[in-house]
Amino acid sequence: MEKYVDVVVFLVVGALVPVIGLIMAALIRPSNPTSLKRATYECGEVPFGEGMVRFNIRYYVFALVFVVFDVETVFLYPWAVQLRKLGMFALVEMFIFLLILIFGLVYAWRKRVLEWS
Amino acid sequence: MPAAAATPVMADLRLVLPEVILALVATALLAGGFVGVGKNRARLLAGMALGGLVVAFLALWPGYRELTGAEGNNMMGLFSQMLVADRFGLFFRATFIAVAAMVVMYSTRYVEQHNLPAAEFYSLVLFAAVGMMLMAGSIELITIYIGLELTSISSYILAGLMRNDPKSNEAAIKYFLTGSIASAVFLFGISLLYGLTGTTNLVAMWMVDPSATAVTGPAWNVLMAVASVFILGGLGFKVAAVPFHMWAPDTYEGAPTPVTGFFSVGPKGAAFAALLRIFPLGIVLLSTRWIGIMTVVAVITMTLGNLSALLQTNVKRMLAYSSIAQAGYILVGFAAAAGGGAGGVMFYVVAYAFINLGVFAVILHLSTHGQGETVESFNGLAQRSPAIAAAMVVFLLGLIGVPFTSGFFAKFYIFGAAVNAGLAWLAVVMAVNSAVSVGYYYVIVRNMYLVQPPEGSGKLAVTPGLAVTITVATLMTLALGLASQPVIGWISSSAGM
Amino acid sequence: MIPLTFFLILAALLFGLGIAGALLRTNAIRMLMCIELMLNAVNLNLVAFSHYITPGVFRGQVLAIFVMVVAAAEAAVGLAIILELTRKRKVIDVDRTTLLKW
Repeated sequence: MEKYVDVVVFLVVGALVPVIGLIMAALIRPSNPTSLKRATYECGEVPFGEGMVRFNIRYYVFALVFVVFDVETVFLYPWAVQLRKLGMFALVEMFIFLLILIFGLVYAWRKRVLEWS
Repeated sequence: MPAAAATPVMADLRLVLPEVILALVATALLAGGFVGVGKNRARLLAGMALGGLVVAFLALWPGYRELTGAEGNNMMGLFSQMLVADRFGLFFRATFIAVAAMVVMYSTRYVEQHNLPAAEFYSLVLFAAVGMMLMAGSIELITIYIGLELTSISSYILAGLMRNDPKSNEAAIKYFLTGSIASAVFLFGISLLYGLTGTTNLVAMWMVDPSATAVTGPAWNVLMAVASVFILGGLGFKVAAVPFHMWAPDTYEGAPTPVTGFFSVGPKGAAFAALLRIFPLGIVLLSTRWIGIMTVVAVITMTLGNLSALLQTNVKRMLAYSSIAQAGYILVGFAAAAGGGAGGVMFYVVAYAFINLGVFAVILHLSTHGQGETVESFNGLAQRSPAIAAAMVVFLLGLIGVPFTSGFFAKFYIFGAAVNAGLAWLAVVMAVNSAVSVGYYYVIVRNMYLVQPPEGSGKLAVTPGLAVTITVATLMTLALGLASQPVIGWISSSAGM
Repeated sequence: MIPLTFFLILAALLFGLGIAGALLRTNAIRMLMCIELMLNAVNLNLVAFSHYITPGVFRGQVLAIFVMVVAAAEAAVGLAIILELTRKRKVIDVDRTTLLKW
């Protein structure tokens, strides 16, 4: 049970850090709000519209392609760890695997999935 | 027992050559969708797919030689037991290649007429075939899962391939959502089985001593039963066993017709192969609770399938329920595993594959002339295409299980196994159900022979692909009904029979 | 050390939550999310079993990796099918896809 005390202490400290930080900053900093300063920061772009809008469905297609290729890389980690032990066969096999992935990407590209139109 | 010593990679590769070839051809077909234009491209792609399937079939030869050679190796583990080469697997792999080849042949005209993306269509059929072959050719739950998903994901896309038809999309979405739930349920069962036995290898599971595992006694029995129910639920979905059948009628009706034919025999046969590997051949020594469950499921499945089929007017929907009923008969073979039901299941899957593909080829024949959705479209077919009507009669007799067709022996072996296993009442239920099924199959025969064709309709021309498919299906149905001995011999020499 | 049972209970709860959601919800995207929840429960089971029942043998972990990858592929195909539904019919509610009905 003592181990759980550590967890609780960790959680409490973790929760306190940002709170203390925000309070300290509010006490120390000068307060001089202007409308430009209060605007939502969007990577330097001038923000427009609401945040809670329905996103364009075309984003999904990119997301789909991304998710598939992103997750496939999970195989690379165990492979990389064990490569020395598995030897040449595993090396060749992984290149075949990557070749198939690249083929998939080329297929998506030729199908014009990667274009915004 | 699999050979423990690691075999050289190249030797292993030789035995999975069919799968490798099919995967390569399927990939090449996708690329083929970009080169060349014009009317002939779809036909070229179909030819390429068919060529690949023929080569893959021939590539089964080294495996056949290895298994029947003087050294008589019964089961060879490949790639650290992830795959296996045995008679059981070879039987199903050969069947699945034949199924895919017939699907490619009978689809060509439909693909052109309905403007389906040919490259993707044929490629997905081949990928699904590879998945099915992996399922049958493995005693490792990881590989069975991968094969199952390869088949399923390809199937989801195939169901929705007709993008200008909202019905096709709806079929795909229903198939996808229910199918993914089933996959997750199946996986949960696998995870429990793994936790109970400490292995995912079915052969290693034979050797697990239930008294020496982490869980023992009554808890073992309960958890084993739970795992069985989950696995049965997941795979039962794929074979459309009641109560996991709800997707089948909708998907069968909405999917493109050649795809429906493929669903009714391909993924279904593979799921039966996996069920055989897991239950009667795999965990039978560890738990027998599943037998009772299978019995109940078999009875409900065939009865509900047949009764619902009686009410249908859409042919594809009727065949969906018919195929549910057929799955019920096959499940009797599982319930009667103690009486040699596994062999009956193997024979049934092959017999049913050829019969049902034949039926769908006939429907596609009507659909090339803009018909084939309702039972009325069979009106007067005996006058419009006499040969095809005769073939259809053979198929329907096969589905009923009349002697001199493969369907008779399929039912006969399962019937015999049920009696052997002391489940005579189950055999009687099966016979009654077969009698009920005559009701809806007869409607088609009556419409073909006794009803006059619509005014002004002449002979129907048949495309070469359909002619070949229907001929092959008829010949196989009769051949397996008249001379089933070689097939039976192979089945009885398969592992674990 | 946390006993194995805790993991199994958590996995069972997650799985139950997933399957209840998948069967009761009618929004296709939500159903998909619930299915992912079920797969995560399976993964938790697999990894816990692998750690406690067969320490040193990573069968369970390997299967879990495969499940993750296949789940991603499945989700991609599923989302594509749902996308097609929204484009054509402007609905995402599977209760309203009733062209096919028995």
